[in-house]
Amino acid sequence: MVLGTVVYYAVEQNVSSRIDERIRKETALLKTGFRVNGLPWLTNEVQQRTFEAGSFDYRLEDSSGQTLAGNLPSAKTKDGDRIEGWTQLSITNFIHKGDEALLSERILVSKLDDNTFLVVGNDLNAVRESRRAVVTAFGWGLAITVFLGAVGGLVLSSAFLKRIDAMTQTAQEIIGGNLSRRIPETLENDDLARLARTLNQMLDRIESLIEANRHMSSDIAHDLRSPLGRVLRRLETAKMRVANAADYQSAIDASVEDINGLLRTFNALLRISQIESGARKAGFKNLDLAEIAMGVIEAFQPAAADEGKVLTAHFKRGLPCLGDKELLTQLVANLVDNAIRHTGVGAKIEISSRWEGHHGQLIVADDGPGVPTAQQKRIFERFYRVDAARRAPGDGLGLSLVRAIAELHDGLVWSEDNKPGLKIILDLTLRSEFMAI
Amino acid sequence: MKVLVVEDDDENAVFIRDHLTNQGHTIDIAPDGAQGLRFSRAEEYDVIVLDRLLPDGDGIELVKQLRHDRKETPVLFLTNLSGIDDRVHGLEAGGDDYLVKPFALSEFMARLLALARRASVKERSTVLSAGGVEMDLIKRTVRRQGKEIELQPREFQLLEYLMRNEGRVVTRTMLLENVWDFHFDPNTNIVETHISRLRAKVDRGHANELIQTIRGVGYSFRVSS
Repeated sequence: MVLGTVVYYAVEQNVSSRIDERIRKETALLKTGFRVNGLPWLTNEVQQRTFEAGSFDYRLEDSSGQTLAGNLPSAKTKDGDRIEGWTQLSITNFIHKGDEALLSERILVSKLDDNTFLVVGNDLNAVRESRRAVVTAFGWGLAITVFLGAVGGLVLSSAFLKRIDAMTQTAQEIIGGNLSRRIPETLENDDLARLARTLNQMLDRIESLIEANRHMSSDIAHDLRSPLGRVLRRLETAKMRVANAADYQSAIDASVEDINGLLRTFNALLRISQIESGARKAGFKNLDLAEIAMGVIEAFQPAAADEGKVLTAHFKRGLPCLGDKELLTQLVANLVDNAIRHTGVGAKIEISSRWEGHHGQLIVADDGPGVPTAQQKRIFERFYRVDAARRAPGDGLGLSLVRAIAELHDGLVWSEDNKPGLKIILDLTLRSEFMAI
Repeated sequence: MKVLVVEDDDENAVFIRDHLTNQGHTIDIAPDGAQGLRFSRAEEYDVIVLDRLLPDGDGIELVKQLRHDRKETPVLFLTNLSGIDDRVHGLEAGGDDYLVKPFALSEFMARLLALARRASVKERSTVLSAGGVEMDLIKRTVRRQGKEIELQPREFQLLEYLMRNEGRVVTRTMLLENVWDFHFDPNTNIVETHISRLRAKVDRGHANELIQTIRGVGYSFRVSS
């Protein structure tokens, strides 16, 4: 609209000045002719031009105001004095070359000499026309804009409202207990879409925390009750039986050991829980996982050798990353421990590193009996034992702690068939500034 | 040994007191932080046992105050607070060791004694000498009866820790923490395997077994069997 106003005035200005210019030129032309040829020539000339096809209107009058030639009325002030120079005539019922009544005329009144006055005029139709054209054009423009705006607004807002409705409905389903529902995401990239994505991420996190919590309760129920039951039975048996001090002593010793074992399991579960709830990220520092792994390997080598297993390291690449030294040390130790526990004499356990784009991988591979592919996914679950009958040493939590620590570090851990044996891979994002390629 | 126990759990306090007095040590018990601070300022203790969950606040504040007062008394945190960061916070505040409840008595005693002696032994000595064994900490050499023993760096660290705690028992967890900086207990007994290798190098061919296993508790570097 502002543009329209500006254009309106600009156009008007332009048209007006052009009209003035033409009037000036015509006046100059006639003035020159008058000086050269005299009044009779001018009278004739004005008479002729008035009735010619052309857009000028004229008036030639003497000092008393008497019309000598032309079709314009005299230009007078309210008091009857002649107006000189530029002015505008408001004419009604004026017949201009066959047209109907005009409304305004721009005129220039020039004094030729003491007895003669020349008026040259041009109607302001053109200006009026141009004004009307601009107004019309912009009027339409405005109307269309408003219309589109209204329609568009309606369309947008109804799409918008639909999306908000969808979000509200999803939220209600989640509140109602269906934790796996997510807000439908569209391909758009506006604020609402971003909000939907963020909310979904939050829901993912909440769902995994609740899952973890559920596991915790069922794990406690299952794997802590049995040892506790054992202790209870043993102590009650000792109480029932008529026994000597030595028997009591051994019953107590065995119970203390069981309870210590229970405590270890409990602490491990608690630790996994703490890690899963993301407790520790603030303490992350720059470190090299390969370096940490070397320390762990060095610690385990004598033990492995004593059991007739060969533990070797092949670090082609360092693994610079951001993490918690303590937790990552425990992660590697658990992996090495696991490999030693589940292989027999003569086994080869190899730890290596690899770069995959921006990711670094730590790989612990053994050539032992391995794990059947069908069960591989489950080995990272709490208390999962591949061979349920065999009571392998350990609490069955080593690999679930590995997974919890990996996830805390935004990494992944998975297992593969080493053909033969088991291969476990930890994948982490590397610190990019170290990757000078 | 003169011990201050700052603990609001009566049962635990009595349990510790009974055992310590049995062993011939004197013990004072403070039920909260304020009293604990008063006690520690009034007396010179060999070691302070400090719970973190006290009725009038976190035990950490007591340590901070102690250190602010320039009191170097060793502090052993004994607490339920087992979060990953809790130990770090405790030690950063000025504590010297951190033991999570429930604890094995032998573990507690081993750590307590190790802390109490630390204050008196000159930490800055560059040579450790006991039972005919001489360790030069600068040159990183070990000799027994004048004969040089070749040790791996980790074995050297292990022997150093044992010798610094000469005559006292060190538990497996203490060794894992102080020699390997492992704050967990692996299933594989890495301590035992390293100890046996160290023993093979240090004790073999000598009548006196300096590196001893104390059943059910840990290990000890002892001059007399």
